[in-house]
Amino acid sequence: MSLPRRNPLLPEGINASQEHPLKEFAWLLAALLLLLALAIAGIGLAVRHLAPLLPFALEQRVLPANWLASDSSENHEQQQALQALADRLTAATPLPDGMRISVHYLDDDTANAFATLGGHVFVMQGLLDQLDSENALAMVLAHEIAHIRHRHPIQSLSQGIVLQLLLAAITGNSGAMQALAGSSGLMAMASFSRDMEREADAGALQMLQALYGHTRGAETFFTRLLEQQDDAEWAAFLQSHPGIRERLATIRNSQQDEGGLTPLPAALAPAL
Amino acid sequence: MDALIQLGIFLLLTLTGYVSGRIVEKRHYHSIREREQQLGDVLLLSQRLPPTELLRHHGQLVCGSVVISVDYFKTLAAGLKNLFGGRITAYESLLDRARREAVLRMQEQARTLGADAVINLKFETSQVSGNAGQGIGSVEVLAYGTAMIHR
Repeated sequence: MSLPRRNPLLPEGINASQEHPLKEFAWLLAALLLLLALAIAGIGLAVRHLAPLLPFALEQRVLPANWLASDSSENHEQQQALQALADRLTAATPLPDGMRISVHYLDDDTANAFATLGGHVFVMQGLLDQLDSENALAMVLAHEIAHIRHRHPIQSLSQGIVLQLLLAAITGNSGAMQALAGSSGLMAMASFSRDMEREADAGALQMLQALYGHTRGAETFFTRLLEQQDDAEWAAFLQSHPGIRERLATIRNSQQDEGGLTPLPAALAPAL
Repeated sequence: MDALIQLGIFLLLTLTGYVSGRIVEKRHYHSIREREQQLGDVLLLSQRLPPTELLRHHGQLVCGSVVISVDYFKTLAAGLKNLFGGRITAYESLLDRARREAVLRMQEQARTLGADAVINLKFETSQVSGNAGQGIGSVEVLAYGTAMIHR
């Protein structure tokens, strides 16, 4: 057998594909995004259904009622006044067995209040500055209590954690696992979905009705918000709480007559 | 905002990787085909022992090696493929280029020695400077054989 004169010119496309790389990439990316969207939606749904099955006692074990026993004595009066109002609200509309609300006062200029695991509610001075009646304050407290009653904190925190775990598992990022293991997520301020806010509003109005017999004064906080929309301090709050006008309308719809409002307790009245 | 910036950087890297990667690959293939024509008379044989026509020749080790880098887009496409399974065509074209380039360099070396053919052709492939999973890696291909030079 004699040797060839030259090396044969082999055809392309055997060891390397001639297909355009973007075509395959686009398909795979679309498939991946679709799967991710489905997984996130599905898991979100499942977690929101299952999380409330975790007993409230578990939340209380993580963040017990005396968690912030180090509440400074200089804020003790405000703390007590807030707790007293919360207790009146829960007396008028009892909570499920074993659930307790612990209200904490924060001397912060931010106008905000939030609820977290274990029945803890935080109210900041900035918010109290905006309220002119006990009814308005009761609306805020009742709103946070309603979040806790409906187990919204555990729902949204669980959803966040499970989704983070899912993404970390897909991308194989072990750093995320370690971050989650360091229970930073538990202390995080839960941000609730619009549906949850609506539910809490409805529950709050019911609680106000049970305690006062009317819901006047509940709209104060929101009207103040709308008045001060241009203020930069409020911008962050407004971004995280969409649908203010809608909520205002709901409150106004529940009010049936005119009349007087209950003034704030002395300890919480703004310094004039 | 932070996530948006990250996404923007990611897209920029992907686009850069894709565009420059495609240009480089096209030019390289063009150059490869040209040189395969030019060096076609330096025969490539994989047999271990010299054929009878080359018995009057003496042997000399020749080798050609090349290191080619993966671009960002290829890494991404391969990552997706790793998830779903199948041929990773992005890397296949990379290795095809690298292998043929290595062979061409070996043939150039053989030609400078005045060789007619290279027998016992073998390949070695290895990964250079690639981090586990996430980093931009590069592949090295070594082609070596015995150049048959007429006495």
